[in-house]
Amino acid sequence: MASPAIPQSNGTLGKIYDWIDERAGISEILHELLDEPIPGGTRYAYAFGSALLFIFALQSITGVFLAMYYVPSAEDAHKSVEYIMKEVPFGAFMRGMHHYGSSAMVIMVVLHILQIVIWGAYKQKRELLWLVGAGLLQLVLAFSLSGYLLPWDMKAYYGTVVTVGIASEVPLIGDTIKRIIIGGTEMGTITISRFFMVHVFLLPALMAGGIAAHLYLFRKAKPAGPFNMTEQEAMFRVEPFWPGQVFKDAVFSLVVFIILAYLSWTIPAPLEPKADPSQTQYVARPEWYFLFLFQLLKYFPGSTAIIGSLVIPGVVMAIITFLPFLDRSPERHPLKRPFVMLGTMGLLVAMAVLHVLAKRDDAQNFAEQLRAQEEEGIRFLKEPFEPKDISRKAVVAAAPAPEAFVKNCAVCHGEQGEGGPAGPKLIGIAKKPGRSKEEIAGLIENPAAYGASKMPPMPQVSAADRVAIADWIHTLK
Amino acid sequence: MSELSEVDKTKRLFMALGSIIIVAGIGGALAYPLFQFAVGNALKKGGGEDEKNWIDLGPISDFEEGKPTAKKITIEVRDGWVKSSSDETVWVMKQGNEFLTFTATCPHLGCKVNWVPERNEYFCPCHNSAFDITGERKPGSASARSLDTLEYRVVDGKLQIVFQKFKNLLPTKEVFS
Repeated sequence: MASPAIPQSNGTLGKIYDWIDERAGISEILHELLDEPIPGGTRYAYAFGSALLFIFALQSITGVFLAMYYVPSAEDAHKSVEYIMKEVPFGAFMRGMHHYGSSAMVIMVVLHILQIVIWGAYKQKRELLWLVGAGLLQLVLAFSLSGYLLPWDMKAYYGTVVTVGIASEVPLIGDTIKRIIIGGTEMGTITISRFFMVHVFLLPALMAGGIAAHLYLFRKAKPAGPFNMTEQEAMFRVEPFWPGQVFKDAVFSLVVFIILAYLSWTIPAPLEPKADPSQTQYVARPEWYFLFLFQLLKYFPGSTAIIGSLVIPGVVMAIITFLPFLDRSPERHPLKRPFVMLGTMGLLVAMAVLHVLAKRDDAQNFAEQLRAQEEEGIRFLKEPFEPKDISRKAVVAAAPAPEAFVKNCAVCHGEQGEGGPAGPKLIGIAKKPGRSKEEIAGLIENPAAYGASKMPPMPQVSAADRVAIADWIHTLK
Repeated sequence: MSELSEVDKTKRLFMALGSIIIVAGIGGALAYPLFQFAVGNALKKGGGEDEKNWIDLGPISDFEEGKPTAKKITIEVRDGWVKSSSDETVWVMKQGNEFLTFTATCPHLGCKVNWVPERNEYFCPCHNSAFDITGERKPGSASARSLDTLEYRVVDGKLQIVFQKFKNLLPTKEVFS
């Protein structure tokens, strides 16, 4: 088969190629894949779909490798992610690529949809193609939600508490759904295991199938071409997919890759301390691209909550999904489709406004706590890695905390001295200078004298209790 | 597709090579971090423990003259993000004022050897390696060397050893970790 995509070569290489080709039919496949005519010529505007495919491939690769170390259990999930971030060579980079890649995926999906909407490229027997695409959009969001829980840090825990809470607003069967999602009444290992299975087995399989169907339907329907040319004009300026469009796709993907790699290299993906269900001060916020939905919830208090969480997003999603059935005129030029274009712009503006309102609300009311949380996360990432000690020695050493500690100190420093947003970790503090048993006992009475001016003095703790607490803190490892 | 002009041909070649270079570049830029990530800390040297970690096996009166005795010991292992305990077995035999202390790990491929009193030998069931009571390799054994001895000392009437792992298969004893 003569194909302009395949360089003709003679000699030994050519013979080897011919030998394989006769048996595997590579030329035919390459011709099918690469020589597709693009009406109106190649463009950077058509690169979003390929970029999505590229990011999905990146997410798959980094995800598979992250799974080499990640363990989906309440006991180990957080520690294994911390291990990836702090101990594994290129671990922070790998998790960064996966973390920022998820944002890139969402951004690219939106750009891809916008391009199709502006070009009117969902018209002329492309309903199935669009429907499968709408399904893929849902899958991208499901990936994001299920992946958010896996690090099992504060953010993951409380973010998922809210998501699951929304699911429980479904009338009649809400609580059943919630229990099925979290695997009982408490979020824990079963929950993580479920989310993990969905995130790394179920969704990728559905996604792969969806992508295959989407590509097949796309090739079947053929590219729509520019909206401002007649079909004859477009066919007159046809260009093959290879190499023009492939090159543009590659350049665009390279830009995406460089941005992701740069971000991963310079700003580590956030990881906060381990999920703590008893923490009352924590301000939970979703990933930035869900912030507008989060803001929407605020306007529907009490029993009307379902309007903001499920009804409005559901209706909007339904309109998007069935767009080709709602907008049936053959007209493709955006300026001649005021209804769809204004609707799209209205939706984008609404999302942007909600996002800004959410940010403003946070800046006005939660700025301090949010900053404290962020600083806590940064501090946590800088802390040297301490392996989880489950050796028999450690089990023997771990005496229960004295009563006075539980009463006076645990609120800020954690029940086992593991630390919290309001007080530093006490484990290992005995090794630091100026923290002998006597000095710790003194610090409890007069923190400022021992360089702990942020801590309130605890004169109510008796001298004997101070000694007991100091002794116990020195056993912590 | 009609005939391509010379300009078109050059342009197409540029774009084709450009695409291939970009794809190869991204692949190359990913390959190194992926490889390092996958290797992880597998080749990292242990924290340079200069100090010997002496493990107590109990009072020397526990050991009968000339009779191999199995002792379970607990060693601390670092397993990724976890520090945990693991059990190992060592064989001990008193010989007058001296002791013979062997690790139970067969030098062949790492199965565990057991003392078989009827045949008066240590025997590894995996590949039929046999060692006499002094740990000496018996002819016909799969193992290329005798049982690996462990360093010991007696402190305050207690027997102590240093537990180590050795490389498999070699005819001479070499420390693995």
